Amino acid sequence: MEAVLRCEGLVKRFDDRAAVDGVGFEIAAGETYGLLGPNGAGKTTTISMVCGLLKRDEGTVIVAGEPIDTSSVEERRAIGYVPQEIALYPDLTARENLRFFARLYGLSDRMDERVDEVLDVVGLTDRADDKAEEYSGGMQRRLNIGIGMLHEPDLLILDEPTVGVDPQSRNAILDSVAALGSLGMAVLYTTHYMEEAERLCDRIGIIDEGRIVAEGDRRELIGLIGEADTVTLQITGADGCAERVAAIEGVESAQLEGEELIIIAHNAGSLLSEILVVVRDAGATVKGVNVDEPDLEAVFLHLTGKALRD
Amino acid sequence: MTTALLLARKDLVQRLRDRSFLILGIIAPFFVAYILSLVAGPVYDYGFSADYAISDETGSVGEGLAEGLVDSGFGAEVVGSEDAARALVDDGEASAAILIPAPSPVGDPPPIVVYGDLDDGTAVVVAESIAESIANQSDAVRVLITETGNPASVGAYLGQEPPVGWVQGDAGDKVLDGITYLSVGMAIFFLYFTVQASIINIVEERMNGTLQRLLMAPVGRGSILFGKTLSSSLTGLLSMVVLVVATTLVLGAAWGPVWGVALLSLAAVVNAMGLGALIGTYARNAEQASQFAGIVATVLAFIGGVFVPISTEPGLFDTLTRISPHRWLLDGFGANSGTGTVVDVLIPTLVVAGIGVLLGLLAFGRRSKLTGVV
Repeated sequence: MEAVLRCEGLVKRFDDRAAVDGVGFEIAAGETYGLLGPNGAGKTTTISMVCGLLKRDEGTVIVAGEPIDTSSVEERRAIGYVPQEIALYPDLTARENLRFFARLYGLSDRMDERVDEVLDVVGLTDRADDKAEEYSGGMQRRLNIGIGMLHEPDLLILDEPTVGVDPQSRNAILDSVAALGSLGMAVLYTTHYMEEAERLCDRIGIIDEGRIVAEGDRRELIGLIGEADTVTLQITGADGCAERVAAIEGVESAQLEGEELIIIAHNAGSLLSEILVVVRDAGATVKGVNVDEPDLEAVFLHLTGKALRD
Repeated sequence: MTTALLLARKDLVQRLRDRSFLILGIIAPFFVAYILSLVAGPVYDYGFSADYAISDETGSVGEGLAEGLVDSGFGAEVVGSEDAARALVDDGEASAAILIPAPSPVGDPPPIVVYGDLDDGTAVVVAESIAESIANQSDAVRVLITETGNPASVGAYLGQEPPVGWVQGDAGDKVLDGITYLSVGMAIFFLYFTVQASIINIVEERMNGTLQRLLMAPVGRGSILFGKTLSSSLTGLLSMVVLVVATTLVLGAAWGPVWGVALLSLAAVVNAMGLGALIGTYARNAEQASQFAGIVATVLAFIGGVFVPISTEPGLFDTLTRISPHRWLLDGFGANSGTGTVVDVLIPTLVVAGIGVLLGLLAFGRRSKLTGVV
């Protein structure tokens, strides 16, 4: 599939320090790519260069087939940008904010229709004519995202859009972002929240100290550290059950400890139904199931020697 | 152009909704001028308690002038000679003397002399206005000279052209009356706050991320800059228009010809924009930018004589006051309000606008500090 965003060898130095040092990745249409890293890792600097807001020292950025740099104008139409800050005009209503940016992007012909669509997507139709300053933080964040996607860009860039948001609003924002990929947009999502990257992103680039240290989908990244999943079954009447489960292809080990059968397996989720059938055939009754998978936090720790929130 | 208009319209709507334009641009300057005209009338206005001595060698003007002054609440006395009138001033019994000479049958008409101490500048300013009105009504007397309180110097200037630089040259023609002085002063003072608030809005937009959004839009950066400039200019000029009309109708201020007011207002706006933009490049955030701009505008207004009419005697202080655009603007509006020439209006206009452009260019050189775009 043709990449909507292709960046290669991005370098940005501030004085002698390289804030971004050779970053490169691609995002296809409909794909959500997460740039996961702690504060100061180089995420915002990277996307500033991708947007053409920051002059890069080295590297190339191609969006929708067009090179992007700080002098690009018309090429920026392919990019939607949601900054980390709540970048709204508080004295204007949500509708006025959207209409202003719609005009700026030349959407005059179908402005009202598109504004209504976006208000619907971000769930603000009922409050569309209230001033943005009267919104809760979560509603402002959703409007912030709405402005970025207003002109239906090929590439939507979201820079940590859930920072400082309460859990309920955060869920609403993540749902909105999850819907973007299905609209066919390529989404670049930066975050230092591991669970957001896991939930939203098709592929993830782990960035630290200005470099992408690993890239892939969640399973591939976890595979890098060689850790397997742990499945714990609470069972009764399990004589001989452990041996049968251990014989399943993909299961590394199965061990009965009291009424708990502890199974170590790679990609346990895909094996779970087979495991349950074997256990049932062995005459055991399953009372509970728990699957523990290694997460990206563990991957990050393994790759960088530090926690994501350091 | 469409983008610039769109941005300017958005900025204006914001300024109207947050009421900063109404407060800084219209209500504050008008009411401060109005209140000062009431409270500080004795300093600025005709209503103060000055006493004037009048000598009249024509025999036809003095009595009527004295009656008029008394009717207006001043003290006025017609004395028998110029020496007697000067003596009253020297003795502190009169604020200023208006010396009206006899018409000369040949040659240039002799000058009316206003004799007073510039330390009592307001009384002299008022006397100048009175003398000017007489001069304007008399074919025989056209030249006006303002004197210091040094009696020995009086004779040297009688019948001569005023020396260059002496009390704004032929100052009597270019001095604002009290109410107009207050109106012009307050309008200029608050104009700087109004215009700079618009420019500082760029810093605010940088801080809250909307500037990045604007820069991400498929429009030229020049259009964004032009839009911001346009909104700043419009707020400044709109503020001036409202204040000129309001102070003229309500307070009776005499601003002079519209073309002069327009030119000087435009120059003030350019200057305020350049200054505001430069200040913005040194501020870390909008709050700091507002503080810096407020301090600079207030200091310049003080130096320029917005709050207290300043001595215009040549010297170091006079030179120092000319670092303030407010001083140039007061001079320009004075010339426009009085009978100054076109050049007397154009020079301050060009100086103030020129400094504004220079400051704007310096700010442009530091634009990455203002926009955050490296």
